[in-house]
Amino acid sequence: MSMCLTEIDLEQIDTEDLLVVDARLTSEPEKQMVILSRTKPLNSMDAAEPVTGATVWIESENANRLNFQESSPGHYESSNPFAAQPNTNYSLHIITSEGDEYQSDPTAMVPTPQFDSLYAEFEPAPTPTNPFAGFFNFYIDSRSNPDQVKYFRWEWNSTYQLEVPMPSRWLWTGGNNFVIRELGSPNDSLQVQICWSSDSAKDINIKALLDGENEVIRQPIHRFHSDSGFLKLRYSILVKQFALTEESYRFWNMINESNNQGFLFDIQVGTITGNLHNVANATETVLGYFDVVQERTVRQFYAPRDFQKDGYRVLDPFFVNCFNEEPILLPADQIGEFMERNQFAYSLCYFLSPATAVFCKIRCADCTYHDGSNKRPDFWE
Amino acid sequence: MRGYDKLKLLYLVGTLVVVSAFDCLGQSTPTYSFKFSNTKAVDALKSIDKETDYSIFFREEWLDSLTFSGNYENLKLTQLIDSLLSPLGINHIVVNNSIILTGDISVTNSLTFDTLSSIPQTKYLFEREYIGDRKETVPIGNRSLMTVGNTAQIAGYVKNASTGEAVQGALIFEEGSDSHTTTDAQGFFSIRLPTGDHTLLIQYSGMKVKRQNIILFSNGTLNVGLEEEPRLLEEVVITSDRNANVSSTQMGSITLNMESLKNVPKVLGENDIIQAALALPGVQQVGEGSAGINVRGGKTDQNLILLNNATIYNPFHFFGFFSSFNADITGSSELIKSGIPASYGGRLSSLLNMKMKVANKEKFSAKLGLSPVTTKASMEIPLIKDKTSLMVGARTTYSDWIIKRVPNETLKRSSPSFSDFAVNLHHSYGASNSISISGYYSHDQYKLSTDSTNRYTNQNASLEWFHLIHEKFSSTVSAGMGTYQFSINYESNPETAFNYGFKIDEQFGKALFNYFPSEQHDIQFGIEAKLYNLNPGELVATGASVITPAKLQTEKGFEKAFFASEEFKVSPALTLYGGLRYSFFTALGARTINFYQPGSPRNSSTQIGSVSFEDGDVIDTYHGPEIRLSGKYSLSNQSSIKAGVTQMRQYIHALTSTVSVSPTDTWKLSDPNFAPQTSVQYSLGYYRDLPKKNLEFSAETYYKTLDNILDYKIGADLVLNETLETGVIQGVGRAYGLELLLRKPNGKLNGWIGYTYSRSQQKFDSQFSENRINQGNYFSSNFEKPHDISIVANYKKTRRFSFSMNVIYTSGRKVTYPSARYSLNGVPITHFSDRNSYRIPNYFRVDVSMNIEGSHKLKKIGHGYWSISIYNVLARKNVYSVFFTNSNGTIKGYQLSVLGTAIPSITYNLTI
Repeated sequence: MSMCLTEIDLEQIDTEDLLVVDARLTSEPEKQMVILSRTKPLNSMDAAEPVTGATVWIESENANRLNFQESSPGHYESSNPFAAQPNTNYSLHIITSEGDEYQSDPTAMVPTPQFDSLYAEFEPAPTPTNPFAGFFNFYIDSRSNPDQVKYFRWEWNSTYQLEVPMPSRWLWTGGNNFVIRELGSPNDSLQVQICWSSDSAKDINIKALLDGENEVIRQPIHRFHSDSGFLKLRYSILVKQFALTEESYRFWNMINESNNQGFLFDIQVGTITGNLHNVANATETVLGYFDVVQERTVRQFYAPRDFQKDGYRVLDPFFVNCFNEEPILLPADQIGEFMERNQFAYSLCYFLSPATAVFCKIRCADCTYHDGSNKRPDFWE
Repeated sequence: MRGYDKLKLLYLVGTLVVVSAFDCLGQSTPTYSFKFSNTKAVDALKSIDKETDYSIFFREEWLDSLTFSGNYENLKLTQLIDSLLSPLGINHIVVNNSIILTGDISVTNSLTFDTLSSIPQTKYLFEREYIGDRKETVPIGNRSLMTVGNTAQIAGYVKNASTGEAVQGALIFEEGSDSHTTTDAQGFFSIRLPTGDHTLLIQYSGMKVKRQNIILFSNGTLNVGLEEEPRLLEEVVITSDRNANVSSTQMGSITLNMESLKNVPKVLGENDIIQAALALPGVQQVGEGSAGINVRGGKTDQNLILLNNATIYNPFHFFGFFSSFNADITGSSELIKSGIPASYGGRLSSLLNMKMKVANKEKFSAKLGLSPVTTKASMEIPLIKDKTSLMVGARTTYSDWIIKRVPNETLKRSSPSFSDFAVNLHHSYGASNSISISGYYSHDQYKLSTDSTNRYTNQNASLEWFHLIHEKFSSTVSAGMGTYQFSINYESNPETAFNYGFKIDEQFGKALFNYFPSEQHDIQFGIEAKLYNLNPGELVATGASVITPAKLQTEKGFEKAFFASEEFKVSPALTLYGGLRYSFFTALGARTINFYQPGSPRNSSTQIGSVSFEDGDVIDTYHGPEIRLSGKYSLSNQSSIKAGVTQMRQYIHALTSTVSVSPTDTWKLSDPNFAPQTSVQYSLGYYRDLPKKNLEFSAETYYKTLDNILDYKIGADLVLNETLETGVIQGVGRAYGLELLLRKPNGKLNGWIGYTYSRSQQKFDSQFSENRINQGNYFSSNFEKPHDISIVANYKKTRRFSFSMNVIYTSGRKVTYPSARYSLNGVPITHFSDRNSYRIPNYFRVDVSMNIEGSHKLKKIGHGYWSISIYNVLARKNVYSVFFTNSNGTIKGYQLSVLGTAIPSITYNLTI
């Protein structure tokens, strides 16, 4: 950036302490969730401070009441599975442990059109070191829109499979003790050869159709670079589409706009409030939005070969430099001594002979080191 | 001897700065040879000044028509001067290497202070008359003939300083008394005044008022040259003319001319009329590199900027670093902050009324200027002697050398270029008619990212006919047209290549009549009309692009106004001005207008329908009175108070979501969904002249209320939005302030100190949260800078060297800060404070500059001057704005300084 930028010490900014309501009632027959928290300082990397001990319920226009229980601090789960119904107004009610009462405007879902297709494309962007580098782009088409829905939002959840080249076959359990792991077996909770790592959207992807426009074509959903390593083995993406009310669209659009500030020509920013308010004090700022949505979802799986035609090749299916590392060989009776000192850098890989243990760098031997889970997700095919 | 030493010391103080004081004892005295044949005495002395180590100080009028002839060989300088001047009866003295002509006063070594003190006005005798302010005070008559308490006659001629023509009807009056006279057809006048020191004011309409300090000893002569307009080499006049401060009814006004520009900061080496205005109270800018000025708490679109009667919609080049007016072609310009005359209207905050220069009708001249960024040229061309002349000016960028050195990536990448051209043809026929035809064009081109090109253009043409119907009744009829347009051209990706553009056209006509039934009354009345045509936005796919083209409906509007005013001099002390302007605005078809449920916030769910209007149909009409009242009451000859009420209405609005003027701001006409903006300003001022101290003081205070000012809902889309009204809210505003100005208009050290306290607040309240900002409370505008101190000092070391320094200190402006963070649906979100609730750090800047005039050589082709300046000499990183980034949940805040470094520049200007 330019020399003329000076970083501001965020400590000097007074933090506004406000209630945040993260609530979305869906048409899926499942336990619904409302998350209550307070705002935190700008430079805070801590998890949000939960609002505990609140009474939370959702009321429908025909006075049906769905109660919520606090399942973990600040997380309130509906007592029963519930699916929001079309053409019904719902309102969210909250009474905090201090007795402050909050309420949402009555909100109804907009019927969400079905997807036509979810598809991915590879966009080559070769670099001197990797002629096969590039970006993966995911799009959806949604052509049928019988209810003439104008406002859309999309979210994605992704999962990719990763594998380490020198999997640890033995789990060190302290001292000179160890237990065997079954290589790559999805049923073995000890295996660390194959992992699955998940991620979800960190931005708000919304769209308003223009007058006369009635379909969504090539709507960008997600994009990542091949260097991320997500598409070395297998990749899955779940895309959710839901229609928004105009008020909801306007709210999320404002959030989007003020999260993307400009440079020389800065844009108008300010406090963004949604459809929630303090019942007794209309001027209190309550953050968040109570959405009622009909979800449409689609999941797809991809492998590198799906992008071969676009010029994508996996250069290094595992992780760079694992094969350049000399493993460490030690007598088996020194396992305990070595591992106690090096358990965060090395794993017990295998035995050359019953008397000689081989230790590998943990990043080459243990997939859980890479933020993954060694438990295969239920949806994984 | 004591007296003599003192006297010598006085001289030394005055002359040390002129010649380097070396000790000439022990050196052989040089001799010189000169040959003159009918050489003008002035030129002869100048050449002696040039050729010798001596500096000669004299008063040109003593030598007016005298000539020298003869060979003067191998003479010491004192001998030479003696032989030249003694026959003429002109005395002189020599002090070190300075020769000072003393007119009819003979100075001898035996003169002592004791004898001097017996003469009244002694204090002027040496320190002021000749050394200190040589140009300031003229002795009239013979000192030895002076009798205290008596009167003496002054006679002389008033001439046009540039053409030498006699000025008939010029008014000569003594400041602070009723003594006055006028010149006859030959420019001759005579006036009797008590002996002693006086200040005479010589004025004639269309010429600069001349202020002349005199010491009247006995009957004598005074010849006066009046300037048609401020000229390059003349003495510095910064703002309104001297006694206008106290005596005119106009308040809240700033006169800007070429001279004032030389002494205020030069950004990247350019003299700039708007930069000059910014150094005076009540005029502010958001920061460097921000286009637009905020006058007395008004927004940037509330200034009516006229160049020869035509509106300039974007008066800035290059993001606002320069105004789009070549200072060499603009004559005197006036910025009025309050008490705007009834003959002007249409914008709430100010009137910047600029006139192009009328070229000299006798003599050709040309100016050339080179700065690190631009090159400019202008010519004054007489076409028919005394009747017709042509002024042409052009300026263009030729280098982005300095821009590349600005440590700002956006600017560096922008590769900007700009140009402007102006032409003004002036013709007078008979004594009672004159016509001027003028044209103006300015163009800017730049890139904001590497793949799109932005362009914008102002162009207009206008005609003005002045006709003196009879001696008490005149008319000024003007008409013209203007266009402002911009475009963004994106071509790097053929599939999405587009051209986006905006255009506004206006045609205007105005008839203004002036009637002076008597000395006491000045009556003005007239009519003004303006037709607007807007193309509010059009997106065109270019080449093989697959972009969906879009075009907003065109807009048409007709604005007209009737106005009448009278200035009435009730008594010598009291003058009243009353004016009424009644303006109308009609929004015209063809257009389709959306209508919304009354009493609801406008959005697509409250839209109840739309109505289509045919071409020329009346969609809606707004009208209202604009009352303009002001008055002046003189408390004494040196002080007055003024008060006024100014009502304004504005029917055209800039749409901008940024704090400064952006070249992609569009304009919007009033219609059923956009009510006109209105304002009322009450102002009160106190004005005081301290002529003995050569100081002027003014204090003005104002309170202004505004209605229907525009703001935007968060996230409102202002580009190609068919339902723009859903993103806009209208509210009220108030602004108030105090402006203090202490000015030393002339002297070796001149300049001013200004202090402004100002507040600007707005309120958007509604029962609907969508239309409410900051809980419906008053909040500060994002350009509000409550404290503003500016000091401009100019020190004329010699005729050729002058130094200037500017010190600017202001409070930081208001911005909206993020004040917390949270997340929704797993997405990290930054929470912003109430609108404009934080203030960025204070602004402080010091600029220095030095002007070096070329030598006054004989028979030189032209006169040049160099100007060397350092902008922001302390290299302070003044904060322009703050912004925050949110990258993977890590929020970082940055302060942005546009010019966080010292920027030196050097310019050369040549006058032929």
